[in-house]
Amino acid sequence: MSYHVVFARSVSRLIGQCQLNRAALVRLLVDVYQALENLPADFVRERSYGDDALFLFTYELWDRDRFHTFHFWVDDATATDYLFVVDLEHLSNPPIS
Amino acid sequence: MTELLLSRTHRRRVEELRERVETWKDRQDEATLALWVDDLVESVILAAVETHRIWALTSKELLSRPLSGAAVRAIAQDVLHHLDETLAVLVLSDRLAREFAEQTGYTVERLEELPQATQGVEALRERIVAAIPLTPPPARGPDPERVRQSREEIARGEVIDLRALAERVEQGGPVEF
Repeated sequence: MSYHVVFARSVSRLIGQCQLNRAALVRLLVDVYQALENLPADFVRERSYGDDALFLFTYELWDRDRFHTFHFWVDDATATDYLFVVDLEHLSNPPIS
Repeated sequence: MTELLLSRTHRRRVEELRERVETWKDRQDEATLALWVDDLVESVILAAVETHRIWALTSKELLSRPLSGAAVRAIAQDVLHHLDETLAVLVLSDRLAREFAEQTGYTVERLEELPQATQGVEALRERIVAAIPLTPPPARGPDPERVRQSREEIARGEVIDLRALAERVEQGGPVEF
């Protein structure tokens, strides 16, 4: 099964605020769409307690001197074959040096 | 990649130091042992200094390009394992050298530098653990207000296909729209 993966406008804004450099940003976007487009049927979907239309997809990336964690909340219930990314939590660790 | 970053020579040196510390009890001659203790203490201090140099090279490599979180975590785990082995040798050498000094009255050269060398490696370990999470940090859960806003945007068609967004950004375009 191949999904269309779609970001809501406000989520793309949040991505823009993460202050990644361009190479890291491209890597993040490509990795996330490739992973979600081809999400295996047996992928364990950790559902939100408050909204069971949403599942968690976590992506981690090293950019320059920092480790970044991105928790994406994805709606897989609104439309068949579509995954809507509706929220993002971005965490970054202290710099390595 | 880790093998390139973390010097094999240094790994071997720490292993050799550990073996040397373990043969401590076999040394009976006090005069020979005194020289041996001096040499051991100097060697472990140098090993601690080398740890910092190797980490400087490792972090320089990390700074050079984006990497997956999993790759960086694997490097960190490998480095931390090595630091733990180095710390174990430092702590054991410190204890044995002090015991020898107390029992014989011999002044072991550079012995007072050992605690500082140990603290330096411990501090490096703490910095690495703070910078690189060994397990993914937990998610706080979706923000209901943001989810509501996103769903309204989706209903209005204010969405972007992620593949198209990646291609646009790759060609130098903005991530926001």
